[in-house]
Amino acid sequence: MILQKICLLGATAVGKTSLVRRFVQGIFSDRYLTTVGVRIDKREVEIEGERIQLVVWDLSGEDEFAQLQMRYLRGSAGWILVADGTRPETLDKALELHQRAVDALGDRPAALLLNKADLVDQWRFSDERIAKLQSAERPVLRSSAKTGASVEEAFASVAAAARSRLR
Amino acid sequence: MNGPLSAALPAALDLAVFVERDDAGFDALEPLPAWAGAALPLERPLRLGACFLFLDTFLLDAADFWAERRPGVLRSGPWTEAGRDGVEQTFEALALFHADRRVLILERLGEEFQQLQQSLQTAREAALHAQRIGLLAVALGARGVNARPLGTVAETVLLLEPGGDYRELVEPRPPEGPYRLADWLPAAAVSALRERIGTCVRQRRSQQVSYTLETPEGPRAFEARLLPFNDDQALAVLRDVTQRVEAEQELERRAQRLRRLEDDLALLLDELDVGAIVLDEEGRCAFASQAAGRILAAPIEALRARPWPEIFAESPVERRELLAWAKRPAAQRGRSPLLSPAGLHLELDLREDPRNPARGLLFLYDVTEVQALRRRLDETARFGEIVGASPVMGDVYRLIEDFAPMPTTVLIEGETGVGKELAARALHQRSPRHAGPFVAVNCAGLPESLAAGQLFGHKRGAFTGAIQDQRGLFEAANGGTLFLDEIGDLPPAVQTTLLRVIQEREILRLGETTPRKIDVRLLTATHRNLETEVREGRFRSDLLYRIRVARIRVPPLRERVGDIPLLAAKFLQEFRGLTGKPLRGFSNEVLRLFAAHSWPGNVRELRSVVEYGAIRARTAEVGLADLPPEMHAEAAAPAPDPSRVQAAPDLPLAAAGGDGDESERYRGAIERAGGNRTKAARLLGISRATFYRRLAQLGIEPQQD
Ligand SMILES: Nc1nc2c(ncn2[C@@H]2O[C@H](COP(=O)(O)OP(=O)(O)O)[C@@H](O)[C@H]2O)c(=O)[nH]1
Ligand SMILES: [Mg+2]
Repeated sequence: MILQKICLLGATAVGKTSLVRRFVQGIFSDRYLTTVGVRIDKREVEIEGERIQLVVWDLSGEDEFAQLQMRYLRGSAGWILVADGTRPETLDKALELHQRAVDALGDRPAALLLNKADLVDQWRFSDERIAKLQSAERPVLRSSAKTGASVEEAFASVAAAARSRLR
Repeated sequence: MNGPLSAALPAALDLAVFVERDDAGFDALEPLPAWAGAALPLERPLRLGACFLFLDTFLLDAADFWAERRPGVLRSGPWTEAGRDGVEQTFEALALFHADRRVLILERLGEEFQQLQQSLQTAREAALHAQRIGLLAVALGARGVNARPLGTVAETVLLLEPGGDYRELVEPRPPEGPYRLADWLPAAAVSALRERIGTCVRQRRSQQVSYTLETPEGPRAFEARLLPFNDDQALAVLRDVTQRVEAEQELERRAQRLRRLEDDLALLLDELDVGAIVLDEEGRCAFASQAAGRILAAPIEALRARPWPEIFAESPVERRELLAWAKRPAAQRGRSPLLSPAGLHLELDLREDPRNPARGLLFLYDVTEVQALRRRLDETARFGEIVGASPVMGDVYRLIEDFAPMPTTVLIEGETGVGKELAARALHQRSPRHAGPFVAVNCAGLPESLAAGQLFGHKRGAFTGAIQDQRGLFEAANGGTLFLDEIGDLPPAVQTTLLRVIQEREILRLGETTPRKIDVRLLTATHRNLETEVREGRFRSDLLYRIRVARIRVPPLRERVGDIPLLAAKFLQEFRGLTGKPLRGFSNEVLRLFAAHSWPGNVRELRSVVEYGAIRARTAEVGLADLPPEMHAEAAAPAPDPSRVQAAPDLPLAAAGGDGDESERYRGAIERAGGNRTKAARLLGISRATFYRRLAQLGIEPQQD
């Protein structure tokens, strides 16, 4: 079976681990348990009739205590950038990490998640800014690990883009 | 896994240790800790990258690390993943180069890791909380909010006036105050804060100030982030960062503990008998590890400040050779074999200090055990003095074993130089007569006039020149074995006497009349076809039947190509001792040529070729250019039969060599693969691991992919 490595990149506590848990185990917890280092999970998906084993790399968020190691990205098919809709500075962080990843590995299929969509009343993004982020290669999705909104789509879109890139 | 890695130690430290094979699989150092046994698949060799997908990526880094043969350890950082048993655990992997092996250590992170996670969690929660408060304040600041006098509030927002008065904005109430900073801040902090407020307001740029306050609960650390506000005011977001600072200190302590783990690893290396010596810019010993002291059987203080060649060599010649070795480019240098004062077999490895290329790092490997192992290996491949592990030699050994205990004569047949005498010696050594003498005579060298006298002895005056009674070789071999080499060359008259001696079991010295009883076992050898000799009347047929009771045919070297590396290595070892050069092995080209050569002179020819090469060699490795000219001519000739080349197994002492053609091939492959090394390795039909290693050995810079 085809293996595809997909990394989650973003600031601390934006919901990367929660998104992976939702995607792999279908559950959500309010409790915050910080990720140290890397956490590897697997899930099989079917993309256009083909079975693909997704290897999901949940990386520790970058903040004043930890720096993201770019070498962890080696060999990834693509990545998912995660920002917390209630904290605008996490979007800057996500875009910065994306740039660093592109510099290190070249462009790869990616998706940008504005997470915690269930808390949209606390969001601090203008629709205008969100509209500007949209691009053909990199879909922007409003996701929620809590409700599951856009979680499947996010992984599927990166996996499919990565697959067609290889063909 | 063999060698000096002691198996019990890693298991006791709860580490799983693996050694990468050339096919990129891994051998585990058994016994593995229980957790590793359960988490890993049962197949051997292990595909670690397929088992732990994290390692699939880390091994890319490790391959680079190994290829560059960097000293020290490459750490993967912690990762969490479920193994074969489905149990999710946190691990850390360490890659290091040890005793020429690519070692991967798997460590399971337990309590230590949980503590680290706990303090990171605390630190992050504190930071997040502070962030939230700060945002809230900025949002509220413009509206004007209520405040209360500042004590040791954890987080608050102040609206600062240029003069240093402030209002506290916390709750959505009208701001209170103004208060004066000087009322509660130490004077030094006030002036620092005022200065920063000024800068912040004038330059419209945010500023940061840290300070400590004494409180009834002890000192607390604060951080003020100043943001320009309106035209001449500033907002100060104050955070009590005591918790974070504590967490950071805790993190630092953890980091130190992790570093200590690295020291533990140094200790482990110590345990495993890898000595390390750091050289200063003048090549003097600046530091020597415990293991170095132990290996060299010298107190560490005695090593300090000594020029390094002095530490390892007594004679000026040897020192010059070591220096010459050290001057070679790293890729061609290899390890230098040494004999320590205490008689240990050592290998010396010289690296640049990665922090300062002018300084050197010497690694000392105690390979005595490896050496002993090699010797044992050699011994199993040897039969007495005979070297060879090939199947055809196996047949020879079996015949020797069968014939040795019997009293019968044995005819050993084979081309010149195949080692017929060694077979005879082995027969003697394994016979009940082994305590008796073994006397070898080459009949081809005996002039007819003297042959009988030499063999059977003579009485004084029996012929001219017989000035005294003389015992013959038969008598000298009494109670033991007499080996008549090249019996086909024995003069006909002597053949007749010999036949009688064999039949009567007694000899008659020339000039004497009383026979003497002898108890001698006769072994003979020839490179001739005695049947032809009989047919053409040069050899007595009745003698042939007498001596050919048992026959052993020693095959020519070209029929046992697989033994050539063993033999060559053995001879090289001999000449290493004689020449005093740190000879390590042969280049691959030489080995290929050896396998393809027809060796008309057999083992003897090989020995002299190796001798020639050993004398000529300028590096630790005997290369094509070092061989005798006639071998060069052959190297230039068309490619050898590939089936024979393949018959040559890996050489225990073989050192891979740098050769122009090979680097060309490698460069070409990298180019064709567009710089992608994995692809280039595939193009060459070798594993990535091997590819990296060869790149390093050939001194080709690996490019980024
Ligand atoms: N309301 C809400 N909370 C979320 C969502 N995703 C994550 N969280 C919470 O945000 C905090 C941080 O989540 P986590 O997955 O650990 O973030 P990470 O550091 O990016 O891996 C946790 O307390 C989660 O419960 C979401 O979609 N909605
Ligand atoms: Mg996380």
